[in-house]
Amino acid sequence: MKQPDSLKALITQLTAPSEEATSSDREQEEDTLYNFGFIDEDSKREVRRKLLKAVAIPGHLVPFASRDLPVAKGWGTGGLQITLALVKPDDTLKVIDQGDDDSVNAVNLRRFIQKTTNLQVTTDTLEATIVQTRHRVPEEPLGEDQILVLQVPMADPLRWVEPSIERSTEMHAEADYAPIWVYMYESVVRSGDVDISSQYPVMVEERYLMDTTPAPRYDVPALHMSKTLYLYGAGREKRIYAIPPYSRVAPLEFEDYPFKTEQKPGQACEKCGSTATYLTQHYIEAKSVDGTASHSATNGTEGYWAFFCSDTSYCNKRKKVI
Amino acid sequence: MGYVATKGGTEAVLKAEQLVEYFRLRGESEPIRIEQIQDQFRLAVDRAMGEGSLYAPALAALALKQSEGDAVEASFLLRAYRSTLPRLSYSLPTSGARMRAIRRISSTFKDIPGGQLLGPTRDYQPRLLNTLLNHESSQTVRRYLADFEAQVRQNSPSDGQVGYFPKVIESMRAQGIMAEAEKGAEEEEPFDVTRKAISFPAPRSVRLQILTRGDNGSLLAFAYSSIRGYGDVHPTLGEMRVGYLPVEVNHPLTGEVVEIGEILATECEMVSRVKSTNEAEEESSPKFGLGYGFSFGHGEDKAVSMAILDRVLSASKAGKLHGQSGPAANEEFVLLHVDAIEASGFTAHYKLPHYVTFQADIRVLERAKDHATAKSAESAEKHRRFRQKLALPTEADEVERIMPDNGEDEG
Amino acid sequence: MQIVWLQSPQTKIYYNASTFRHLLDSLARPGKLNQLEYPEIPGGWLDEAPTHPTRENATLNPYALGAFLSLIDGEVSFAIASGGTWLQQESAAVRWLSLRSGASLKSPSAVAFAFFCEGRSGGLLKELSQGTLLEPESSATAFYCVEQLSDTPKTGRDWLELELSGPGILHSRRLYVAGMERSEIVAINASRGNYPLGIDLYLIDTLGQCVGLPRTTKILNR
Repeated sequence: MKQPDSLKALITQLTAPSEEATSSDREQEEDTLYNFGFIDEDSKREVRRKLLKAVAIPGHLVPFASRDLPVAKGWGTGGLQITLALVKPDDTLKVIDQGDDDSVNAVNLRRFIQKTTNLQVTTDTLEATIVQTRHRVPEEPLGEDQILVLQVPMADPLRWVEPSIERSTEMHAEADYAPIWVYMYESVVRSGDVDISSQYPVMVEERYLMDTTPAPRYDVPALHMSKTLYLYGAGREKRIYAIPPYSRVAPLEFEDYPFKTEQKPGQACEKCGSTATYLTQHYIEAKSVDGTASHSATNGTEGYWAFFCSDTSYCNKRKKVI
Repeated sequence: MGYVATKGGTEAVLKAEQLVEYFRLRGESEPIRIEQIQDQFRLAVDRAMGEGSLYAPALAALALKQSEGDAVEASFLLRAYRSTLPRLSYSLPTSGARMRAIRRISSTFKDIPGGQLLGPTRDYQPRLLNTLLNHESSQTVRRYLADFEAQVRQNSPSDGQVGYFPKVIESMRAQGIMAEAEKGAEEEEPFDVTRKAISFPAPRSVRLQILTRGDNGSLLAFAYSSIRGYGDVHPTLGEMRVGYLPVEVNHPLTGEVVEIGEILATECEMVSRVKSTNEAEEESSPKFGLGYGFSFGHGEDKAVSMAILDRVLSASKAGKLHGQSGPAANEEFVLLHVDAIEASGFTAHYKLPHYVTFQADIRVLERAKDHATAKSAESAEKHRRFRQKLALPTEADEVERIMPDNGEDEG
Repeated sequence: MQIVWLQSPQTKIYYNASTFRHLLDSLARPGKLNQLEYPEIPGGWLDEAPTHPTRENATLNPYALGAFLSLIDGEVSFAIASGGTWLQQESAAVRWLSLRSGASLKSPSAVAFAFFCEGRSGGLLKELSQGTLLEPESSATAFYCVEQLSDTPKTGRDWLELELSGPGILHSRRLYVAGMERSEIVAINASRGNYPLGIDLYLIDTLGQCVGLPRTTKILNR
């Protein structure tokens, strides 16, 4: 087929973005094969429109198209699309997984965002303008000029009791949350605690039931009347939701079974000594005389289990101060 | 080892990348050329294009090479690349009737208008491993092609007569045995699942798009479940054709219709009785309903599975399924679980570190344990008090009575 | 609508991103003043920008036009009103907007975005969609062009003093608006009596200061 010159010109312009506004340094580093922020402008705009609606209706699940990314669905594509729709060249980004900047998936996502935006990155929570995270809210309180982007696997808190999206959408519309209360009541009677350990359900602004992502319960209180905007993205489930700053967020609880976090009194991080952070268990290999870790394939009795902060950057900061 | 708990995540990720490359190359055999994959792994290429939802044989071949032949990984690469492409234009609707067919069959009638064309199919070949392929050389390839071409030349039909056939479904429509598709819904601009958020119940265009992008294996399993017993649609293959379809767009400046190329595609139409729960309706005009299947390239299993599922879902939506309908008749269930990229992504995400949430799980487990212990202690205490109240022997006494130490009670 | 390609993509990409961040922050912190960037893009958007449809020798607020354009495209529809009436397809402003965005003009009840060229809708606000219980996000977002916004006390006949509360606001917040009709506040409040339904709003002044008033914000006219 013959291509008219005008069409050719349009295509050329489209595929070779002009770089007027970028510094010469950036020109060299930017991968010109891809748009700034990888996804095309129309897709970003769709995410942006949905983000605005999510903020206007706190806790409500807003469907979005969710593009395919070079990262597997279920591995943070929702958070990633939000971040890519947010970023501007002067942002400073922090990416964590399990609270750790150096976790393999955080490394992968950061690498991808950097490659397609050339953003400045940091591990210091307080330096970042945008923090993308999976499973944790950073320990250091975030400020008004920061945005926390959370990667969400399941999105709908009613999935525990109602797998059909068509039905659960109706339940949210009618604020019909009786089934989840029954579910919680039954688990309290059976096991003395709500079975839902992470991704604890909360009520936002007394209207929408919301999934807090598989973050531990320890992180739930940080959502209430926070200074920071929380944006949640579920790429595979194709949903976006948000908690604006200074919004009321209440975990579901019974009068006689109040909401409890995982914290055990007296337990402290063995690196920084903190008793007021979320701790996870780590196996420490016993060191042999020459200083190398000794592997004991037959039994693991030579090492021991220790508790460390899951937020590694905060833990390191504390250690430096000590 | 230490895949996240220790520092070095970045290094580990980079090393893993090197290892992947090493394992791909360590056999030291001749590197496969993309062209070879495109020519000789034709069906794998077609499958990757279908699930990757991008018609680009050369890129699909590249994706297969890069993914070492992993079908899902290859389509994943294509999908990701696809996201970066701007939508320059929407192609115009086309019809299977305009297909230049290389294969075309129907099982509804022995003879059909235009005739049956078996075409390139393995359907009637005994599945025996062909050891001759071990010794295939470019010489044998050339000889085969020369012989084949000579044969074609000998009985070549004249140009313009090749490959165009009327649709079997159309003649069934003419006979008045096909239920009319719901008008209106069909004429709407199709929903674009890659650009808009879907919700349920979904329009048919959503269903067809998700199915045609779906995983071959998943479609096959769902369709099979329905025809094997968890469903009661009993379909017949109205027509299946494989061939080349023109792709046309409106010229962006002049608005004229322009053909911009053609794609190889497989199209399938399954028919089955439209049953009605309304007896009067059933008696007055019994009809067949249509299920539509389409796949990029040569993908027969997929097209047939898709057509069956489309038929089952249409029947189910119209409330016209008798008896057990089964999982394949649940639209949300089928459409949300057939996408290979979504399914594999989420299934594989369990490989990601979860130690923060697992720690929370452990804590809840501990509480449940404490609760269980407390509860059993409490109930033992209640039991004891109850017996005391009734002046029954305590449990210790009871044991003593049933199993006396000396064991000589009987005597 | 390929005209959009003729502009400098990279500059526009950055402008869109930065404008979005302001719009997001405005909606997340109702009443906070965000300064929008001037949409001066090389080869630009403002070429042949339409004049004010109902005011002689006046221009349309370029900041508001830029912000509005940064959100619309071929996937959504819009409506634009001036002097209390909806503009029709033939009007210069409609043609300018749809040519630059690919978005189509639709009837007010069906649009995702509405643009009021002044600080009043003249009763048109109530024609916009407030969404449904199943899809409250399908409601419209409306932009008002006002004269001036301030977060420090202003007195005078032209100024409205509004007290805002709701999500995004710690206790309450004062906002002073010039160039908005008092009756419009009544209309706005009437459109948000049925949460989660409601219309989300932006006020943008001639200096490019932007305020968001999501449906959750309670507005008290002092």
